[in-house]
Amino acid sequence: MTSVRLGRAARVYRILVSASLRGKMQYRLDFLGSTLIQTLMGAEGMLFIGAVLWRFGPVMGWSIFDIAMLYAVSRMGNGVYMLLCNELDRFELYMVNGDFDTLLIRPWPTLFTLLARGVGIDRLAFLAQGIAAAALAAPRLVATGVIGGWDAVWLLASVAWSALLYFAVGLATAAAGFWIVRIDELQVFTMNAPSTATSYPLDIYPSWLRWVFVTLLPLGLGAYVPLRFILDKGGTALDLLWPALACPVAVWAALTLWKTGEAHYTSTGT
Amino acid sequence: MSSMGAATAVMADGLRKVYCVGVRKPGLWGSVRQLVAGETRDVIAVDGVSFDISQGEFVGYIGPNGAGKSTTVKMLTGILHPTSGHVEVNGLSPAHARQQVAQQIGVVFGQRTQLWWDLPTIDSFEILAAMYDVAPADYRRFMGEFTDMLGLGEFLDTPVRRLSLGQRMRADIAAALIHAPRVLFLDEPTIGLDVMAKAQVRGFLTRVNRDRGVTILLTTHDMRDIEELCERVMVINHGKLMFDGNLESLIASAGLPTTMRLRLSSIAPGLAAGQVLGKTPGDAPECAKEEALCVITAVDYSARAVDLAFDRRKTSAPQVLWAARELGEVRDVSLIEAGMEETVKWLLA
Amino acid sequence: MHAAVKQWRVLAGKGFAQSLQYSASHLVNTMASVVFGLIYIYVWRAVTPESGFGAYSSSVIAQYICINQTTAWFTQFGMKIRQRMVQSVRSGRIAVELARPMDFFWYNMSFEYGGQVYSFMFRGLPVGLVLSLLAQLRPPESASTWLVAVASLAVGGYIGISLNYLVGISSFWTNEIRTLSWVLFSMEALLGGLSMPLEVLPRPLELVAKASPFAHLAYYPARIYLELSEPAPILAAGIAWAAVLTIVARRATSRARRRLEVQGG
Repeated sequence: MTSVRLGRAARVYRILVSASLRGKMQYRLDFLGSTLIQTLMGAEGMLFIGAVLWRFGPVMGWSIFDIAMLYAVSRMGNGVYMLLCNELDRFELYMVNGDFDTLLIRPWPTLFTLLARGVGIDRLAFLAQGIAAAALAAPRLVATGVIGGWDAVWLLASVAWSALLYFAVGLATAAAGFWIVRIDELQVFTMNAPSTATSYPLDIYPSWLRWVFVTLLPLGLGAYVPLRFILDKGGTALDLLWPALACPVAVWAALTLWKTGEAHYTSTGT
Repeated sequence: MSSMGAATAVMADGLRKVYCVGVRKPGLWGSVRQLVAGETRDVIAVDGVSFDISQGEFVGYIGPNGAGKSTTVKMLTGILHPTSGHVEVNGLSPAHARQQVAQQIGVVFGQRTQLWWDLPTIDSFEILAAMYDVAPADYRRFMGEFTDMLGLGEFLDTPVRRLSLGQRMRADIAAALIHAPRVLFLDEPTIGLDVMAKAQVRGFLTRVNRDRGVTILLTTHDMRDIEELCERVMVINHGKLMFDGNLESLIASAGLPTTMRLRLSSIAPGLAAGQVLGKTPGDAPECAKEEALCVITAVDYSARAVDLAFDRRKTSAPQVLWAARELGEVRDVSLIEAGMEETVKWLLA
Repeated sequence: MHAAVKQWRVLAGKGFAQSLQYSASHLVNTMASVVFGLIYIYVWRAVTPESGFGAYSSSVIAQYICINQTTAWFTQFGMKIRQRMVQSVRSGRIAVELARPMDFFWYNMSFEYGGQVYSFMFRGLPVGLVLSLLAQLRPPESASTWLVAVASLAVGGYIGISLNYLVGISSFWTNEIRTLSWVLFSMEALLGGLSMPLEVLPRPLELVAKASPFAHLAYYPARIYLELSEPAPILAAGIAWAAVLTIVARRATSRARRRLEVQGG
C-alpha cells in the first residue's frame, strides 16, 4: 500500500518537474542569463577566499587545501539543497501572491507539491563549484596523507548532513513565512550569512559565535564539525556522530514547524 | 434546510474565522516592540456561519467585498483552518483530512488560474490526471466529453498564457472536474468575462449540476449568475449569514415595491415624484403614505411616462390603475418587479 | 539654481519620511548585516599576520570593516531607485513622471538621497554601533578629519545613487535589470573594497579599482576616516566622478525620453 503510494509520488514528481522544466525552456535566454549569474555569483565567494588564502597562507592550522575541502563539502550540500528545494528558496512569492492556495487544494502534502513545482537547474553551478573545489583539494590531501581509506565515505556523509541541514534551516525559514509573510530578509540572516560564515573554519570565530553556527544557525554542524576530525584539526571521532544525531532532529523540528504553520496560513486577499 | 432525504454534501456549523493582524507602530522603537510584544488586533472575517448543502444542490453565495465569502470558501476547501466551528465535506473535515477532501472536490478561483501558464493547455490536463490518479480510460472519456461540451478542442495546443479570459476559464473549470469530484466550489467564475463567455460558462455549469449531479457552491457579484443558475442563495455580510433560502422567498422577504409604468396621452403640469394617489378625501396628511394605494416615483414629461410604486401584498394592479385614472388617459401599462440586484442592495443596506 | 536646491530639500525630506516605516524586516536585515560584519572582521583577524600588511594592522583592518559595514547602508545597500524605475517603465507610469516640469534625474536623486540618509541613520549606525564594540573603533581626533570624511561619504552616496540610476534607466531599452543589477553589485563588491582593502587585489586590478568610481563607495571614505589617505585629491576625484556620472545620467535620460516619444509610451 505504502509502496504503491511511493510509486505514484515518484511518477507525479517526475511529471511535475518535467513540466516546470519545459515551462522554463520557453524563456531560454532568461534561463541562460540566470545560470550565468548564479555561476559567477558563486565563483565570487570562492575567489575571495582563494585570493585571501593565497596571499596570507594557512589560517589557524588549516591549509588552503583543507579549506578548499571544507568549502567543497558545504558547497555541495548547499548545491543539493538549491537543486531540489529551489521553491523553498523563493517561498516568499507563494506567501505574497497567495499561490500557496493552489497547493492546498491538491491531494498531496503541500511540501511535496511545492518542491515538485520546480528544481533549481539554473543553480547547478553551486554543485559544480563544490565538486571542482573537492577535485582540486583531494589529490593534495591524499598525497600529504591527511585523508585516505574510509575518509571518502565520511566526506560524502558530511555532504549529506550539510544538505539536510540546509533543508532543515531553509524549511524552518520558509515556515516562518506562514506568520510573517515576508521572509527574504530572514533568509539572508538564517541562510546566506551563516552559509558564508561556515565556508571558513569556525576556529577563526570566538567560541560563542562558533556555538551560534552549530546550534541556533546550525549550518556549521554539517561540514565543519565532521571535517575537523577527518582532516585532523583537533576533533574527535565523536564529531562524526554529532551531525548524525542532530540532522534528523533538525529536519523533524523544521517539519513540525511547517505543519504548525500550514494550519496557521492566512492566505491573502481577505 | 436539506431537502427530503438527500445526503449532506457540505455542512458548516458555527463557522468562525478570526484573523490576527499585527499593529504596526512607526519608528525603530515601535518595530522592536512589535517584534517582541507582538501587539495584534483581531479582525472577524466569518462570524458563526451555519448551513447544510444537500447533494446535487446548486447554491449561490453572495455578499459585498470583504463580507467573508472567500474566507468561507477557503475554509470549506481546506485552505484555511477555522478559528472555531466545524466543517464537513462528504463527511470529512477539510482541516483534518485535507488530502482526502481534495481528492473529492473541485475548486476554481476566477482570479487565479491553476493551469500551467507556459505549457499547452492539454499538458495541464495530463498533469492533473496524474496528480489525481485518474485511470487512463476515465481520462480518455473525460477528454472526449469535455472537449466537445466546452469547445476545448480549438485551443488544446495553445499555451495557457495566450488563451482569452473566456477560454482560460472554461479550461480551468474542466481542469477542476478531471477527477470527477462530487462537489465543486467556484469563486467568481464569471469575473471579467464578456456576455457571450458568461453565457457559455453558465450553460456548462447547469449541465454539470443537472446531468452529473455535482453539488455546486458558487460565489459571484453578478446577480444574473444567481438568477440563471441557483435555486438556493445564501447572503453574507460582515461575516454573518443574512439570508438562506430560495430565490423567490428572498425577493418576497424583501417586500420591495413593484413599479407600474404608465404612458399617458398628456401629463398635467405640476405632477412630481413623491405625490400620492388613491387616498380617500379627508385623510390626515401625516398618515397619507400608509393609506395610499401608490406613490409616484418618477415623471418623464418628454416621454409622457409616470412610474408608480406600490406594495403587491396590499394593493392589486387594477386598484392602482383605478387610482391612476385621475392622471389622465392611459395609453400603455407595464409592470416591473424588483429583481435580485435591488433585493440584495436592499438586504445589505 | 535656487529652485533646484529648494526642490532638493523638499524631495529629500519626502524620501526620508517615506522610509520612516521601520518594519521588523529592516530589523532582521540589520542583524544579518551585523553577522556579515562579524564574519569579515574575524576572517581578517585570522589571516592578518602579526606585523600587519601595508598600512593595515589587525586592529586597523577591523575598524576598516566596521566603517564599511556602516557606510554601505548609505552608498550601496537598501536603495530602491532601480526597482522603482523598472516598475515605472513596465507600468507605463514613467511617461507621467517624465512629463513633470522638473529634471527627472534631479528628482530621483533628491528623493533617493533622503531615503539613504534615513537608511544610514537607522540601519547603518546601529550596525556600526554593535560592530564598533568589537572592532574598538577609534573616532578621529581632529575635527577636520571628521569634516572631510563626511564630505567624502556625501560624495560617495551621490556616486552610488547615480550608478543605480544608470542601471534603472537601462530598463527603457531592456525592460529588465537583473543582469545589470548583478554587474553593478559585483563591481561594488570587487572594486569598492567593502569587505577587503583594495591592496589585497592583484596589482593591476588594484589600480583599476582605485581609479574607478566604486572605490568612493567604501574604500576612500574609510581611508579618510582612518587618516590613511590625503583627503584633498580623493575629494577632487570623487567630485569629478560625480560630475561625469551626472552628465552621463542626464544624457541617458534625454535618450530615454526621445525613445519614449518615438514609441509613444
